[in-house]
Amino acid sequence: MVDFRFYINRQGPQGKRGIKGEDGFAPVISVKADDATEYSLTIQQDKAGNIIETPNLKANPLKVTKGGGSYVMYNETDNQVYNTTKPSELVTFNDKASTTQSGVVNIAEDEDITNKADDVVPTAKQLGEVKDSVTQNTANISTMSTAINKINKNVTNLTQTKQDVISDLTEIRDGAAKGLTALQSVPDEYAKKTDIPDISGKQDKLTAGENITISENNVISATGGGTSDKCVTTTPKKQTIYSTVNERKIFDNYIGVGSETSSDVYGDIVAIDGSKSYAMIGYNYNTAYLGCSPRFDNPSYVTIGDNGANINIRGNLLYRKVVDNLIIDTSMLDGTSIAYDSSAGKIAVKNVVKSETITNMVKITQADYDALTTKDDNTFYVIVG
Amino acid sequence: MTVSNNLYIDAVIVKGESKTFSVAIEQKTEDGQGFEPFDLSNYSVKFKVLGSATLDALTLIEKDISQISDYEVDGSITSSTNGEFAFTITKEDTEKLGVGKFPISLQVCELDTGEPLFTLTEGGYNGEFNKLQIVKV
Repeated sequence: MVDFRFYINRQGPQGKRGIKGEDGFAPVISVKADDATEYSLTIQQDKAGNIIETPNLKANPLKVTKGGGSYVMYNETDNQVYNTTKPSELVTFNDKASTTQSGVVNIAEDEDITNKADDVVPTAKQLGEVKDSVTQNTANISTMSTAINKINKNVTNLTQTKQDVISDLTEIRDGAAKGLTALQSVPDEYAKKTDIPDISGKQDKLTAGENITISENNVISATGGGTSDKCVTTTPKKQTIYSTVNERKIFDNYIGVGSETSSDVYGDIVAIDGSKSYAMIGYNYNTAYLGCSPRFDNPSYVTIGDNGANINIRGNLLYRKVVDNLIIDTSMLDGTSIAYDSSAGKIAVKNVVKSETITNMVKITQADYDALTTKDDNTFYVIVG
Repeated sequence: MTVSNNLYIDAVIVKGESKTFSVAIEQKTEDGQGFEPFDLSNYSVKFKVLGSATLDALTLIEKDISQISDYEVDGSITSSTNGEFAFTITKEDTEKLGVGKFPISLQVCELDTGEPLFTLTEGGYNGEFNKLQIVKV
């Protein structure tokens, strides 16, 4: 329950009847003109008789003055339209253009270009293709021109140096014959110069010296010795060794220490052929030895000193025990193969090729060397041939 | 938009007292055969006390009535789905206006903008108008 209530859109009460209005006016329409060219009306718009006239409501056909022909032409001068024949300047789609007449041009087909038709025009694409062809041909001509110039030059050279009579035909033929059999390429079995290692520092073919032999297999051997790594490459020299104790000296051909009157005979220790057992150089000459040669596979002794102190000479005479007051006359050393090293205080065999690791020397060709699948690090390979 | 020709708000209130008046809005049904409540859910109501019953009258008091307005001061929409709302004349309003008859205006407005959409309190053809009468006793 509310105090007040509103109703929206409710129909209101009917209003009073209004006063009657004046009579309206119906316009009077009459036809003003009606013929083939015109239709217009007259309209009375009010009671006072005011009228309005419509314009010609009929479409006005084009008035064409007869002039002959099926073309229509407007004359600005008299503002008239005439029918006439085709004007000369008028171009239709049926008129083809030519050198003397304006008209329509068609696009050229390929055969038109081939046949050089004069009533068609090429497209830009066709012109472009021609341009490309011309460019390529120009390049080809340039190449040919260069080649021709070269040929001309060669011909010129030939003509300038040609012989009237070929006098060296035999040589030419021989050379050609040789050329037939000449190597056209480097065979696989041949080595290129770049493949050959530098052997400029290598030794020439070895020549066997005294007590040195070189086998067919290029194996170097020293006679009277044992294994080559202990071989003395120089010919031992006899030497005079003096002892300050008893003034013993070594006699020629052998080295012995003893009195001159001693009947002891001591062998030549430098004989390496193994024919003698050993030499003794010492005071104790009770033991007589008929000379010796140190055998490198059977350590022998060169006794130098009192009471048979032993000097083991092995290999290249470098291994030596303590020598008791041994005086060496270095003038007896030839200086070439054996020399006395004063700074070191010892005799050294010179020009000895020695190595702590080389145990073998082999003479071999480069090809054989290259063919070796395993190269011994302890072998000295002498490349020959 | 018309209202009943016999229905105009004639609210009477004693000066110095506060009073709330309830109002319901109904609209024609779709078939036009009856009336149904006007849903006030998306609307607000603007209540004015005017100086005169003219379009250009001065507004003496203005209250915005919505579902959240203060019932004791302005009034509020009491049942939006039933189209019911109430407007309140406070004691202060009566003292401000004084004794007399004052035209009032009730407008249904758009809730979001407050823009008036239509006026409930249209005047009658015989000069009737919705008014508030403040009396001494």
